Amino acid sequence: MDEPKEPLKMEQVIAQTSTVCSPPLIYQRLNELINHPHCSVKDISRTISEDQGLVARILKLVNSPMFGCFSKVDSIDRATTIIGTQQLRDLTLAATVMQNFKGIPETLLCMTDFWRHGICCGIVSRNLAILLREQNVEQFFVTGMLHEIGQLVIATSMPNQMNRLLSSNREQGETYTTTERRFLGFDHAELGGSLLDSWRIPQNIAEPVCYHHTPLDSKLFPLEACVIHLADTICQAMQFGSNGERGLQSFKPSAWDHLGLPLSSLEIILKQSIPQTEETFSILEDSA
Amino acid sequence: MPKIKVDQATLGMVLADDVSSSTGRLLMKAGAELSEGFEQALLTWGILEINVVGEAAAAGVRNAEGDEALNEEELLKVREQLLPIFAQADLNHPVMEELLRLAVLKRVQQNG
Repeated sequence: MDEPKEPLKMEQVIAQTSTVCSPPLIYQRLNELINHPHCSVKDISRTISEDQGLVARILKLVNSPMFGCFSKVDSIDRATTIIGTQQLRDLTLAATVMQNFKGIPETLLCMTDFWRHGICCGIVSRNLAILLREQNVEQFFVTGMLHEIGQLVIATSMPNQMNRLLSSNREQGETYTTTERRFLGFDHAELGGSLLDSWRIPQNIAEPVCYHHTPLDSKLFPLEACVIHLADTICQAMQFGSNGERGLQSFKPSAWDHLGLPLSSLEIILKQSIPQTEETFSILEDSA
Repeated sequence: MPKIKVDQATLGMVLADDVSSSTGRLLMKAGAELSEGFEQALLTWGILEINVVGEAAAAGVRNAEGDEALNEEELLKVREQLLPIFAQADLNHPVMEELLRLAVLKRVQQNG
């Protein structure tokens, strides 16, 4: 198949992709519900209960080590009360998005490694957010999970170009985003942010995805972007899955300084995160 | 009051102090006995160290720790294996240095 001579613009890629990969419908409905002033917990659980697979995944997640609840959470009503409506909406996104991207050839991206990296990054981000005493930590989980979603868009909409991009990147020894910008005129971070925008995912998730390589350029959510950037670095260093990038060359010390965490927190974060990864991964894998 | 690491505590040990999360929420009261699942629960809340009752119990833990002191040679070998991942990282930055140390420890524990 011939590639068009003129490289596609980012907006065109998004438009193309949106016809194949629509935003998770149930997420949009929850979003509308939550923004409605008369929304009740019952309305939310009724909407989620339409998808029994989703109900099972959410309950498994809430009962998994990640949440550390002492008593069993056995209904969506209870889950909503314990973790909150916005948090539940964000978890729903995490529990449904994997099924949206299928049929990507293994030679381009190993989906297991890709999602393992995403989920680990989500867990590490979530634990960093807890340490930083942030309010909605599930938002950090889903942002971490989705931060590389732009790579899936590239793999879905222009597989041939991605092939050439990958081999060129191996030869040149430059950062992956540099190669992407040279080939495409944009990188996977921007593309991921735009896709989430087009899905009407709130800015507190879309913007950190867009700036996960240049966190301090984020105007509205620099803290969120720095958390995702650090979590991404930690996951690469610990080899939790793979994000297609090589080496740790893109780490920005300024992002670390911005968070103001003590060095000893890295060990705490890892001790918290490692026991949570396997179970979370196996729960979410069911949705793929 | 001896302070020990959570992953070295054993079932049945008794807390000497209240354990609170970083936000000040009381998690366990002094005098509580460590029961099934305590390690997971405490680590989830970011608690790495606890004070337990009884010098003897904690001293036993510390001695055992000394016996299992990690082999220097093994650490260096694993460090060499992992260096390619950090090839383009600035190892003079404390974060990178710490991440390499933690990555080596994790790999050694997996091998062991």
